[in-house]
Amino acid sequence: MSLSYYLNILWILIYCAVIGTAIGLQIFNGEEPCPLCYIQRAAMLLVSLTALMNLHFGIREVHLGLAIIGSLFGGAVALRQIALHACPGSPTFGVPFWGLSLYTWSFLTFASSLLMCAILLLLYKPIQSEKPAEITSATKGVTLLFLLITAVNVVSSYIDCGFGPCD
Amino acid sequence: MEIPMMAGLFFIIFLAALLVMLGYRRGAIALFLLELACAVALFIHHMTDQLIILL
Repeated sequence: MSLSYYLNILWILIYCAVIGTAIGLQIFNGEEPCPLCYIQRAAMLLVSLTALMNLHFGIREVHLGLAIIGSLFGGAVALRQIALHACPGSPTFGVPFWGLSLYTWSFLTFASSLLMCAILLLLYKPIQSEKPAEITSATKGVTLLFLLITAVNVVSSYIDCGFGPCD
Repeated sequence: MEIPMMAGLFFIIFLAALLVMLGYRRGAIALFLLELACAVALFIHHMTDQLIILL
């Protein structure tokens, strides 16, 4: 297996760990997510979805382009939330994790995703995309993990927001 | 204007991941773009609400 394959697996695992931590904080610490937090989670899952496409269909420029668009969108939402709490005297939202608020971490993950796209583009060989991707047990494992994390978010957002935009 | 619901956002991603698993690449990309459009609409909705509150 190529280095790109392992990077894609790592990419999905990191995002699943980040969203899993947020869900853990929500359930065990009572940290209710705000609407912008949910949108950032959706952007993280979108970026992970492109990594999943890389694993299932082989690395293609289209997937990496979509990942860059998803990362830029997620980064914009995270920056918006940082800006909301940047004024002196305005309290931060939620409990800090390792000294930084969750939305600041979120921004850092989207910036790292852009870096990951750049690395994958550097490693990209057009011949790779012609070959059908081999579905390994690790690929199946991360796909099931991704589906599980997404399903938990469907239930969680439905409980919090119902059939609405989460106002 | 109808605002897409939050739970629907995650449900679309779930469907897209299922399509990826089943091998439908183009369908998954179409759902990705739909999801992105809905997420941008929700973001604008919440951002304008906050701007109105700030003003």
